[in-house]
Amino acid sequence: MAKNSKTDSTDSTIPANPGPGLFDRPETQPAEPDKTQAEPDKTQAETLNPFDPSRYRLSTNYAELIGTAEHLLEIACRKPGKEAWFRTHPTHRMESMVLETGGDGGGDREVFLVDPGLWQALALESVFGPRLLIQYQTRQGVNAIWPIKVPRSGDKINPWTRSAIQAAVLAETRWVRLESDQAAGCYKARTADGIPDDPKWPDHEFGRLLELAFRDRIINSMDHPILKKLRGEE
Amino acid sequence: MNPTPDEFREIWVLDFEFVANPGERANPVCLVAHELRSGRTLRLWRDELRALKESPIPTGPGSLHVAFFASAEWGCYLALGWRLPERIVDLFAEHRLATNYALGKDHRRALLPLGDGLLGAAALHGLDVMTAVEKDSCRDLIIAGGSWNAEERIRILEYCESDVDTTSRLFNAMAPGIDWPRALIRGRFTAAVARMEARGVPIDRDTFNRLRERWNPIKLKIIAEMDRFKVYDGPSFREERFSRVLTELGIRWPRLPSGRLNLGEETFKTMVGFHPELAPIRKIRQLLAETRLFKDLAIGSDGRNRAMLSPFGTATGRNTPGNAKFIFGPSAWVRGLIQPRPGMALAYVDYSSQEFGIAGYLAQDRAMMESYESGRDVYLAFGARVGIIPAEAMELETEIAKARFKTERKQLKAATLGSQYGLQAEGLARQIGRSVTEAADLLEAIKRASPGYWRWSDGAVRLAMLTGRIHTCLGWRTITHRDTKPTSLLNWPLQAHGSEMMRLASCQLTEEGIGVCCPIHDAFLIEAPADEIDRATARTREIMAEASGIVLGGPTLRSDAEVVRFPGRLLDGDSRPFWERLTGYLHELDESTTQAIVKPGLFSCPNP
Repeated sequence: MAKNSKTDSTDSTIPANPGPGLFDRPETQPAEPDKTQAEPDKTQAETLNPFDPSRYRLSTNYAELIGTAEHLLEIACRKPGKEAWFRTHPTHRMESMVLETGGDGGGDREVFLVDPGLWQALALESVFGPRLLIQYQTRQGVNAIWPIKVPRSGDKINPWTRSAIQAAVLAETRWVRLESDQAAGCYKARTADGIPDDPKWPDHEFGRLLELAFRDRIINSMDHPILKKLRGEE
Repeated sequence: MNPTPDEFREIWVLDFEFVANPGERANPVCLVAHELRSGRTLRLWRDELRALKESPIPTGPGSLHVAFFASAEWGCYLALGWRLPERIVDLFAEHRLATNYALGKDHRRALLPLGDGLLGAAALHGLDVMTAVEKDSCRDLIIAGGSWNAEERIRILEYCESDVDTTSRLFNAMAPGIDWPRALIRGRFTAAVARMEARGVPIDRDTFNRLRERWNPIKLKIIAEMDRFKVYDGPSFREERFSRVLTELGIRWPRLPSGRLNLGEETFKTMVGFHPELAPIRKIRQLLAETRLFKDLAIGSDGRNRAMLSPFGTATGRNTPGNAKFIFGPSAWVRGLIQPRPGMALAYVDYSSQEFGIAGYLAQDRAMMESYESGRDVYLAFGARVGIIPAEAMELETEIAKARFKTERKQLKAATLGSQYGLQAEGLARQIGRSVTEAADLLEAIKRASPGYWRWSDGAVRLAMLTGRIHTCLGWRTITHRDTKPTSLLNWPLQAHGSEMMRLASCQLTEEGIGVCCPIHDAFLIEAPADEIDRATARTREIMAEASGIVLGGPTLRSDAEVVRFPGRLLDGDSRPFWERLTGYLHELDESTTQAIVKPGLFSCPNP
């Protein structure tokens, strides 16, 4: 069978001078000029030249193509899980009065921010009290608000509260895991000095985070369903 | 400026009819070509074709060649000794691209009931075509071969012309939607495919024939010697016996939803990685699974395996050669049949950690790029960053470190590659034989170590789900459907860019005259005279690096090469002992056959 070029044969011969750099030449073939047609004009050959694919490269920066950016839309208000390593934000914290429902067999705990105008009226409510609200972030990059129970004015600070605050302070600079020590009646904080990276805090004001955490859980009227439920009206 | 086909002086739509026996090169029967601008049509029978030294169609850049499944046409060009065209559009590739739904194979097939052939593509565009029955009857006439009478010749030419007519109409229907500059790059690849298919892979046909003749006794010998757990009953695998062995060894084996043991090859491969004592059972299963090897492997009369590479067959654009026909389809030990001819050599050149490199560089993930650029084994380097492998490992020689931290490296590799296609903790736990908690921690550590990659990957899935499609840098794309699962898209960009890389490298390698026998996923098998193989290998590696640079927008991937000179065989370290055992049995059987012939005194001297 006739063969017109090494390329097209099954003979294993390698050209003595391999071609120049990949895809930087306008033509691949022929060793001899193609006599079967006139040379195309330069513009045409260049415009549709499959031998120069780098000219036709499309962007693969996919997120940029649709202009996506990450937005924090939800943030939970709960104590760090017992398996979670976490860090606390050095400045994002606030003390406020909250109403906390659930727990103790009453379903999931839920924390509500309470309008200062109602504090007086709720003063004697057992589930109403002060909390230190601190932003923290887990190793998985999950942001949340930790509501640490703090004593009411004049009350003694108990070991749970004291140890929780100590852990929160420790977590400003080190990765901490919180464990309950029921026998001692306090939390124990484990630290992990082998974790080299620092948390990447979201670019949000603390106020915005509180808004995200409590937007559906703000009590600003005595007619709030939660208060009605506590009064036995529902 | 977005170019269009209007810029071509001539647009030729062409189709060959040819006979292609298994393992043989195409044998052209006739060619019909139609030029769309002038309306000129060429009809050439095989004796006329053979009389031509060049294609009657100009092959330079002014002529666009249009075909459906174009590599078949170029196979005929090569068989006729013609140079290949430079500007090609393959309507099969473009049809695949236009209907490349991100769905399972069966689901996609249901959306395209007439399939991906010319009839299916034409029907999708509302074109009237001949029926599949008519087409089959003409094909049968061609395949029957031999000397067609005058009437049959006319019928075959008319059939060929009707395909050209359909392809012309399909071209007119599809042209406005074709991504022109990049379609020509895909077309260029069809020429490379034809060159690789024409070359084929050299096979030790003598050993192949001897194995075929003695296959049954060899199988039983292998089982008798290797089945030390006694899970076989004759040639039959007994699941209950295997289950008992697993219990005795304390191995947790993955199960199917039905509760039965998952006995798939992938599961065996993974599990044997962690429990090497089970390797003999896997080898026996692989051996027995090759029931079609001797029937279907396509070996030509010149002792070369030639299988249709079936380009653009998968959603990611990878080739899909038939497993049974292609020498790289069956188990790895079958590669022992690949042997260079005397005076020749082969080189197996594969990209080093291609998926990892693509992921790191396209996502511009610092940890992954630095791990790749460390020059060390990427999984050791990345493992050290993740904290799974001690940093001291980086001070050790790579092979020593790989051996010392073998388990950790395997786990990290499984978790890294697995996480890239959405593997969850439960699945990883099964793969690596660890608890779900440990697997979850490993996945978490990997994600934390490569945030850039995960942002990029997340962006890719979002783009696909929001816009309905996602593309590679050279325009291969997949289309989301309402049933597309976002997780099914996770690995797509990596695989599809790997495929682009292989396509570009295939083009340049074959155009430079390097003897590429075939591509194998992320590798090439090349062939050259023994004294030229080192130069050919070096050039192959350069070209592969350059192709990766184009796909990755600058950075290049490394490659590894293994050279085999005659009479060596293309076997990896894991398969070699098994191959040697197999051929050892073959010699024993050969000898016993010889003795059986000699004993009756056929060649012995008669007593005086």
